[in-house]
Amino acid sequence: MNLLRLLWESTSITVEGLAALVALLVFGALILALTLRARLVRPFTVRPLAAAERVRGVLGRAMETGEPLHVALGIGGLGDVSTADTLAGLALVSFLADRGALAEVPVRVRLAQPTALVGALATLQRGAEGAGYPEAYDPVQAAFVAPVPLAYAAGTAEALRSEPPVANAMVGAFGAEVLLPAQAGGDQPQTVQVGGTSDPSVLPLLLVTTDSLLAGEEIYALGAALGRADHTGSLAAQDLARALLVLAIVLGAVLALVIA
Amino acid sequence: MRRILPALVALLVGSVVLLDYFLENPVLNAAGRFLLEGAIVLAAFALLLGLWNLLLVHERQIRRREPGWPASVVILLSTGASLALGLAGWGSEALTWFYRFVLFPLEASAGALLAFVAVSAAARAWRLSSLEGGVMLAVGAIVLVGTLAPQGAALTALGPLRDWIVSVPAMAAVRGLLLGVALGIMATGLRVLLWIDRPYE
Amino acid sequence: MIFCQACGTTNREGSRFCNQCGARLSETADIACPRCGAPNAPDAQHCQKCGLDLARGRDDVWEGPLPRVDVPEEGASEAGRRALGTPEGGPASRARPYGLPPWLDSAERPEEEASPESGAGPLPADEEALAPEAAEGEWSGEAIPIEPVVGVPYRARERSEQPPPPEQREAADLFAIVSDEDVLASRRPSPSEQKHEAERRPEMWLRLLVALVLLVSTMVPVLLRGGPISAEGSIPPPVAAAARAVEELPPGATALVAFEYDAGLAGDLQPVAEALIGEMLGRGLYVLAVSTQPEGAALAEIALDRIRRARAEPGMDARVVNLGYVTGGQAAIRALAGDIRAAISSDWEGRGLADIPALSGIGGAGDLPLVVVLGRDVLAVQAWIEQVGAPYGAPLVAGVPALVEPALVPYQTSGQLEGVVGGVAGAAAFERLTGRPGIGVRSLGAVRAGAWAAGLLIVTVNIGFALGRLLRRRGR
Repeated sequence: MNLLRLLWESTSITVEGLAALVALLVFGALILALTLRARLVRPFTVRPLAAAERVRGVLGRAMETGEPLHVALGIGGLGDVSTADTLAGLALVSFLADRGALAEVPVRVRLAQPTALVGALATLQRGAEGAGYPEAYDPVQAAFVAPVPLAYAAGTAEALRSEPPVANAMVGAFGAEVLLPAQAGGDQPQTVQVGGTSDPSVLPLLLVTTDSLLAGEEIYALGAALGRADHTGSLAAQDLARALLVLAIVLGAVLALVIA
Repeated sequence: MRRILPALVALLVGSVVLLDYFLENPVLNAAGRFLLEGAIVLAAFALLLGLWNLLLVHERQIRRREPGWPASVVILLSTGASLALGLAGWGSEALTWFYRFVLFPLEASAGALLAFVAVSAAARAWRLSSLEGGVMLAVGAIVLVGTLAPQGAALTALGPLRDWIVSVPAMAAVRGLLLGVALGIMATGLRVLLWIDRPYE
Repeated sequence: MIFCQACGTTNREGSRFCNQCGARLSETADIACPRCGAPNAPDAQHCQKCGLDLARGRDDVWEGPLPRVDVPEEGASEAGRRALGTPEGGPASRARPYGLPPWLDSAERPEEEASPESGAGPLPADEEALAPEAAEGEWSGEAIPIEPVVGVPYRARERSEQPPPPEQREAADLFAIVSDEDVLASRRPSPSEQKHEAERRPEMWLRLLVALVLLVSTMVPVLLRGGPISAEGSIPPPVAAAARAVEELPPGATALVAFEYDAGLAGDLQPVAEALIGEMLGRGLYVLAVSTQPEGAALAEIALDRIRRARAEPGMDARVVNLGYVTGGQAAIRALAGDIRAAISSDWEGRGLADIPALSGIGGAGDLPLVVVLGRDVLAVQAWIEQVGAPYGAPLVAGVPALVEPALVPYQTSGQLEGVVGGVAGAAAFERLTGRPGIGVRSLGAVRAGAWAAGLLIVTVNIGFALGRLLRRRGR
């Protein structure tokens, strides 16, 4: 008891820190509640994402022809500032690994961070096991190309040229170097290209080079749009929180105007 | 147990690091620092795994004579060379030389290629075929001219218009994007922390 | 298509050796079957596909035994193979005969076993079990020819209509002979071969044009040392704010510069680094360089080297220190923010931190009066805002490529960043503002000329496209 009190007394927090922590806790509670509702009652309906539909369609084609699907996971890793983007890309890998193992569609993942490699390998293995074909998992499906962004981009572009996939999805953290794989994929007439990243400065580059684009926050909805029922809860929480934020911003602006 | 233990570890570590970020407490801060050091060591181990994967991928590429296999030979050789350069203790001198006169010029030329790719992609994509394409082309032209017009030229009149485009509609769009992205990042992180997503399994 | 006379495999037009068995292929023309049109070897007796007697050419009912057709298993998917229970890579992965399923076989093919002229040889040992049983039952009617390809998996991949160029074909043939494993897979026409050359031509011309225009427009100002394009222009507010942040520091203070970019972006960021660090040293500040990107430390060394040489003052080594590369990404930034000594033990040259005067009395990066982040993208800057700016309140200035600058302006207006310097143009503006013209001002001409040329090219090409469409519509 004394120890706890000591702990409590030696702890301090700034006002902004407290506000942020409270906001985070509220948001967390919201996510938990809505996820439970999605799991126990029924999943929330998700607005169809053009890119997700595209991926589904291409997957069907790949199942018929046995041609490979390619995911460029970007230059981000797990455990750094790009974790969320990388996880969004991994949600796509998970979907493809699961369906791909069923129909023996080769799924190739290329990435630039060793931490992302760990995640990708685990996701591919889980997908193959979940589909009932653990032997479909092959540790070279995910390839660590290079830790330097441009080297990664050049290596990925080369791979897209020498083994053209039916679909090239570039979802994750990217910089301007994404243009190299995007152009290489675009040069292949049968390759459908899907792009997605959260960096606003990279979006225009993807817009002009891909067939379908996930702009900004849409990449975090990819898991839900591809049928992950447990992701719909947090997506709904996100929407709710954004609505509240927008309301707060509008109220603040009006108040500022009135006071001025 | 095999499923619960990693989840518990993830929950515990995540909560400690999160609280350490917000709270000022000697015990918590020490624990947070210890975990961060652990994360750095783990990241270094992941690098070893990356190297192993690199060898595996390219060894197979060469063995099966898959398209582009000569490039794999070059990759393996240069990986070995730079590893030797770093490990054999020739010191930062040799490594700096290698960086400065081999790697950086190569990368810089690949970087210069980006400008070329961006321009040719934009030339193709900004077709005046739709309203959107037309608006994009017009706005792009205004911003470009407004930014680059030489001082005193008649075109500088576009300067204020360019400033307005950049600081009002473009900024609003970027802000909206960043706001959504921030929420998405929070949601993704909390999902892991709340045991909804389990990338560590 | 050429059919191999030894094994019956389909080979691409012009092949000299069989894909499957390696036999030399006849160069004489094939004979098309008068009934089904399938190509057959010149000396074939019966059509490979429908069984028509080619010698007689009569379109009548085939009376002999059903021909055995060797079907390469290429179209079979792995899943299908699994369902059939055949092992991968075994004899099954080569061409193998497919018969009728046993139930159909025993019911409707009573005469085949009796016929001494059966088209098929003895079955391989591993297929003995699949061989049809001797006829049972009372079937005595006329044999109806059964399409012998029942049970052959659907072959989805169509071969290209467009033959590849001869040199590619020769290379492929040679390759097929040298590496005789899995030849069928390696002979798949790559999709780039499928694309019509004609479709590619305008694309190629466009690319050539873009390359030429960009090259000329950037080279001319470089050769003319600026030439007609002036470096004058208004100073963007984020750059002015960055200059103010440096100006406000008292001489003798220490600032940290994080090199969070790679060599590919050095062209845009090196001028920013030199402009900012040059100004800091000019104002009597100490500068610590650090990086959490593998290449950052070496790039920092190159930039610092140039600055040290340009200034050529004594004691520069002590005033600008490269702390090198710290592993761990965001965790490393966090560690640096709390305590630099906990994250780093020596500098780039191996000196102990105790010997570095710039570090005396400094704990973490979060306590410093200024932290400059030279980031490759938004995320790199965001990491420093999250780990150093927000929790510790350290003032941050960002230097980024020109492309990234607009995305960071919201951070600047909200106060999370003191200032933003974007690319060569930002560096040039910073240099003009602080009165120390350097590489930024010198390279601005080339950058501006390149941007002008690119913009004009995009507009012209698009107007050209639109006019072309208009004319074609009018013509119709």
